[in-house]
Amino acid sequence: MSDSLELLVIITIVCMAAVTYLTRAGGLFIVSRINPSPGIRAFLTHMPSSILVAIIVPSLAGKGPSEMIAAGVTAIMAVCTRNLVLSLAAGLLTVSLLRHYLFVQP
Amino acid sequence: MKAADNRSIIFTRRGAFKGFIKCVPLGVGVFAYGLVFGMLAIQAGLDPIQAQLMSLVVFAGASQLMALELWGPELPVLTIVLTTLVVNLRHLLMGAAMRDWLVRTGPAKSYLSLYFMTDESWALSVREMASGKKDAAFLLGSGLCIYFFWNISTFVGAAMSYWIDKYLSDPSVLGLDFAFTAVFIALLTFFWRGRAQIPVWMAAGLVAWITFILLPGKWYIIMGGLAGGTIGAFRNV
Repeated sequence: MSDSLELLVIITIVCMAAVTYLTRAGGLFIVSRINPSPGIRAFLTHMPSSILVAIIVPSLAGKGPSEMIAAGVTAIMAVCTRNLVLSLAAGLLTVSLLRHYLFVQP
Repeated sequence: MKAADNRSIIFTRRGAFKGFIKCVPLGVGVFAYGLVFGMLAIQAGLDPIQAQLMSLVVFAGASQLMALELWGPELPVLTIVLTTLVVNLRHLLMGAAMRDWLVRTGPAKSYLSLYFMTDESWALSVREMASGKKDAAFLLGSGLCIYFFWNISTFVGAAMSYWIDKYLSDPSVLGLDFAFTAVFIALLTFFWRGRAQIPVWMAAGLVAWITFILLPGKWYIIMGGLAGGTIGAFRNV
């Protein structure tokens, strides 16, 4: 890895840390001055999950039946167990089995 | 809450210890999550020291995983930092909710405690606070517990990934190329709060998909997030 990329990686991580701390400290800082309106509150509540949806949808678009079925298995496992690692394992197992035995890519 | 109650807020080592111990079961769950992060970080091209640095100074699971999704040889620094900011905006509300403890604790201890605040430790702490407990160090202690598990598991996950790489040249054999999608699907289900979520997520997915087709780079993540948040705001006013 080149030195300039190495430096860029460090800068990225430090900037991520700075904005993250800003959000952690900012609530206490603001709270005595401004009371967020219900609209802003709802916006902030719904944004994290919307970002997850925004990542998932294009990553599944154009994929085959193996990925679609594995996505369903992952979701069902997550709803039933509420366990990230179990759900991930189920999804990975499903996708690798289906690719091997059912929907073999040419 | 009466002013007299606020004045009696304390901040003791014992309170921090209690928060740490009560958070251990949640820490074990975070440990598994950190293993995933450590492994995916190596897959995405970080070296173990960079992955560890990220867990030490950023310390925010969802945004760290999303940063990996954006990671590449040409690092989109601005997109990663903006996404991190947007993903972590919820902390503003969580920090604000700890007001009754933190306003009377003193700025140094309060802002130190907030550095370690996570979804898990916050949920425990806000319940502790609501039940009338007075020791605000609980938030710091429970946060430190998550910090401990998160960083140990990042280390182990990164080490495991090196080991797996050595014996496995093609990640698609074990379906590892699907790992990111699976992680985000599982995380998404944890955000389910009922049917009101459906139009929000449909808007997010639709806008993300259209942006993905029309715009280069990873703008679709931010656009989808803003679209979902906006629909959520209008429906909840």
